Amino acid sequence: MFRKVLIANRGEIAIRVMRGCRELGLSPVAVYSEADRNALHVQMADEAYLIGPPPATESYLVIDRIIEAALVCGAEAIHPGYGFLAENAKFAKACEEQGLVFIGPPSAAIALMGDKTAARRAMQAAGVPVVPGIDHVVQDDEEAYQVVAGIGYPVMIKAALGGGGKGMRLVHHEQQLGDALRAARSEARSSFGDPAIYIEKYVPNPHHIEIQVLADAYGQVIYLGERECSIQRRHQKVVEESPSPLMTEDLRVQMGQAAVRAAQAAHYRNAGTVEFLVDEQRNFYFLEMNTRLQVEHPVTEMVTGIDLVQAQLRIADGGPLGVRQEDIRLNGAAIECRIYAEDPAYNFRPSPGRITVLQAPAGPWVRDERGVFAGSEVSPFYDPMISKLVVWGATRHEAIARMRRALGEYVVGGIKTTIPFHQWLMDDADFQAGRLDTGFIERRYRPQAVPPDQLAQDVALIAAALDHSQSTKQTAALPMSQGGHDGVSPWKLAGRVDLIRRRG
Amino acid sequence: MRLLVNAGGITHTVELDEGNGTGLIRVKVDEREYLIDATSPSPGLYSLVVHGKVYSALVWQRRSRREVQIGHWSTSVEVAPAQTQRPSAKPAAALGGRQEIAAPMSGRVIQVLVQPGQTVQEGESLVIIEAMKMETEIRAIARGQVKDLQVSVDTAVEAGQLLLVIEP
Repeated sequence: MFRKVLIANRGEIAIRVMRGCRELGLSPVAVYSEADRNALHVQMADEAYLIGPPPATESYLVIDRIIEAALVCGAEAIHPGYGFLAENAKFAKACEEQGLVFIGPPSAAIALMGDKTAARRAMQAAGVPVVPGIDHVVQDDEEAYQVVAGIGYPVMIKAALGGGGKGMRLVHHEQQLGDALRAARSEARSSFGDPAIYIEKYVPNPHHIEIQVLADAYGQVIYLGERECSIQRRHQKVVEESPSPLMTEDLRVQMGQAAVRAAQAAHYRNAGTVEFLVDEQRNFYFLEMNTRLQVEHPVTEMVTGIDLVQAQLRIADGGPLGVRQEDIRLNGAAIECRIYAEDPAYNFRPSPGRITVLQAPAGPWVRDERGVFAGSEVSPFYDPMISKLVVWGATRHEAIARMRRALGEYVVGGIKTTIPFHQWLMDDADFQAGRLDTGFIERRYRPQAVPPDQLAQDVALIAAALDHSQSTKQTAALPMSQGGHDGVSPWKLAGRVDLIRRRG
Repeated sequence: MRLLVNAGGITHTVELDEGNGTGLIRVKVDEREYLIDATSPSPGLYSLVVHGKVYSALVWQRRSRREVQIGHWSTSVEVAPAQTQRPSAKPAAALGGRQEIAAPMSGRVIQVLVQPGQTVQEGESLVIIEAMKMETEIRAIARGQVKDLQVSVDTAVEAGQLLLVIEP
């Protein structure tokens, strides 16, 4: 097996991949931008290489720099993580050409699935149902108006090279179409370097359910159950779980087999995810295939017991799947909450800044994968996700209770995070009953307006007053203890203890 | 120390008697008295034991205001020493319709949609800021005339930084 793997990413996913590498005895190599010298993923690697200035377009997205770093350090393989270059066919191709193993699918499969309209055509040919819409890029506004007149409102405008909710706009009325086209094109250009868009019929309030697949180099393709990803804001996932509350044994087989057909049609290899929209009548439609590891892969790992990163490494190294479809059993329930540096009280607006406090949850069946620590600077340059908190329970009910417990332990100060939103969600009756769809947050979420108990209002006033008093005084004689040592430096404290001992 | 704390338009008096620094403090909120064991394990994090009940409060300071979060409830307050005027927790409307439009988050200005002197309508887009790969439109709260435009395309802005002023 290869011995050294360069990870062309940052943050929590770089660390997740490093863990997989280390458990297989492989040496992980990090790359970093000038903004990330202090980042956790750099500290956790065996080797690290600077690849450029803070903007991703000058560092994490520069193919040549990353390839060069891999060649310089003698890495045999590159893991792209998710985001950045993970679904960039040119990057996979560049790796192939330089004799580096790209830990992911062949570049041709990425190219096919990255072109959303070509993918729609391929899926239809393979007998996988797709959302009604057009199978080519919309040339201009005039054509857009014609297309929409044909399929009827509401419609979803999507970036042809899109994914991750970027460059997407929902349009209900003709008056909104012009603005939406402009906004979608602009976002498509800045996110994917190409303003091309296409249009699909909007399926109202669907479930977003995806199937994890694994394919080896010998034509073996299996599916590893589903992930329910309907809890979304701005068309991006916030909470994922497996199994889906909507799923039946029968539907799982149907969707799983469709996902396998999709992967086979793309001559797929390695880990991939086939995303579907599922309506209330349990009709399912192919949405897109993500040709990489997903953020939410841990929920599948928790219920199947399969380490997907290790599976990726083994498959990339030419190993067989080593597991058959009939061996796959889903055990219990797992939930993931994405902890974003965003303020849920203000429509999930970004909240970059320095993390001053970080107390992470732990305990039975809790897995928190962070890319940050107390003192970390959450940079406005990159994705706002700072951690993914995952729990497992024997039942969905137990998993929700455990997630509520873990979120209660999670304290992040200095920046705002989505933790309060997740706490609200775990208490929500509809979520608990499994009544969820992609319109859930918009329809139901209102930030908590009422104090949790009678005293809390006064406690808040007191805390604010104390904070004011602390910041105005700024003296050495703080009445409040800092860091648990009554404001006394641990060195002084140690000295005193030593003195007492000697006296004794 | 006697402070005025305005929350939700109501001003409360908070008296802190921090005593000899044992961590036990006597607090009076309006007419309600508490003996509280207070500590700050990390900057901005306050652990308060009140009548045996444990509270963790996170406090953020943004300009003159403080936001306090307890569990998944949060509230925005303004604190001022008692000897000065009541805290001026007044929204833009109270400034006689003058709107000081500030950046809601740090990021980069990618579009400026107005010019000085231009009249804008309520809800009209003024500036687009990009942070964390997301575009946020900053809109006018009420009709008015653009004055004092302080940013242009590519300006890097901090949270709370003044972008422009709109006068009625």
